[in-house]
Amino acid sequence: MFDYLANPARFQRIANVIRPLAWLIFIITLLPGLYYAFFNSPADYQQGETVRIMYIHVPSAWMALMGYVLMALMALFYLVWKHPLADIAARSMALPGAAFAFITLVTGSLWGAPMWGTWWVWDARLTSMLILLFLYIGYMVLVDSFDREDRGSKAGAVLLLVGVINIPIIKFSVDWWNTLHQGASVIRIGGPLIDASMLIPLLLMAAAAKWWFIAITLIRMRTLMGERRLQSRLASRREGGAHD
Amino acid sequence: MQAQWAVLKRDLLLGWRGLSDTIAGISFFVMIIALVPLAVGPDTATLTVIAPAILWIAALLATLPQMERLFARDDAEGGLDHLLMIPAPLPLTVLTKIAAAWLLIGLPLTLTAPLLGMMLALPLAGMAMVMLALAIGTFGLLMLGMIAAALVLGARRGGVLIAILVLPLAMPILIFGVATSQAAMLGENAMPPFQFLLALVLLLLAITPWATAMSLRHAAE
Repeated sequence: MFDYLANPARFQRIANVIRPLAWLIFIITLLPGLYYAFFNSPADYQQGETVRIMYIHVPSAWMALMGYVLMALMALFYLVWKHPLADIAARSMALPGAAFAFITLVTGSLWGAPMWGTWWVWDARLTSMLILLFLYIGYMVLVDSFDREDRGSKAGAVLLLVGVINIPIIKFSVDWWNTLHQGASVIRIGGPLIDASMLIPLLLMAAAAKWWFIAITLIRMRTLMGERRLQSRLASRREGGAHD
Repeated sequence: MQAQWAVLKRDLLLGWRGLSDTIAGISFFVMIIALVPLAVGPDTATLTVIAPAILWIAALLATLPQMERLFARDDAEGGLDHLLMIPAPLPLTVLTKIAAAWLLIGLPLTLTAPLLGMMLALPLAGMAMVMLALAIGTFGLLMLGMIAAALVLGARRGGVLIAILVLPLAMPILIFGVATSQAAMLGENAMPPFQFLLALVLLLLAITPWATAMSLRHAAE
């Protein structure tokens, strides 16, 4: 399947079908998700209404992690199989992923202030999530620091693969270390611990986040592929002109 | 094996000839540590509490500028192609370079730690453990620096980029290194954080030679 998608024109045709679909699914999961999250789900018996931050915080965290894992997968495709669109995919996913990581940290901080009594704590989960944000930023800076684009892509790919060790650390940090952060309640052996009345809005918001991510990534990929075509046309025009 | 020996001797010789660079690195280490009591105040109780942390942060900051040098000279003089042409596997050559770098950068830092500990009112108790932790920790930091240095070959503003790449990944080493030093200093059992530190460095040892070799090959294209 990935060979099939290696042709940029073919990829763009398929992306042009998927993208409006992604926006549509985003809207139809976001609207009921927001409604249930803010109006039609129970307030927590201890935390009251502030628990509703969870419906933004948790999907963002999931997307930040998923973004990095996808980027690392693209890095693997790029380095090992030399897939021509893999580095464009990785570059496109970097900023949305970083944005989700940032939103996770900010919403977590806003949640922690009333709940834990502190805006920040240096426990394993928060620290490793901060490291994830720095990895995203480091990647974005690194890929644009080279004069030749492919050098940047390769360097970025190596960085992504080296940093992938952080992902299981983030996921399991609440199990391995003593932490203020809540333990795993949804993605765990034995199934989710939370009630359906909270689980459904959570999953709806998570789906909304995912399809937004897909739509935005496809837009960014289209832009990057267009830039690349433009660069190659400019380059060949320069060469063609020199022969006159 | 002969090739590795040659690489090691060459790196050590270049380091010895460029001793001013090594001394500059140690001076930077000393100066950071000297600044802290000036800023925090001479109260020994406060200093003792933060001494392990300052020692480690200073070690990290002092090794950062030197990481640029790890490959820059080879790259500038065309030695990179020679490295790639050595008949031995490139990861092994990278390992040799890491060993040379540690002897030139990590070892002096470790050996000056007791002296600088005095400046920070670091008690002599457990100093052996602190030095061991520093030795292993600087080894880990240098491995991270080596990956970063290989990645940024040919990039603009490589020095800043190395800092951006190394510092996030160095956080766990910092955390467990300081925890080990603190436990050793207080006479508590330093084994748990020390074993974590060791595990981190071993993990890096498994990753670094291959990641660096891959980056060097890309840089030479």
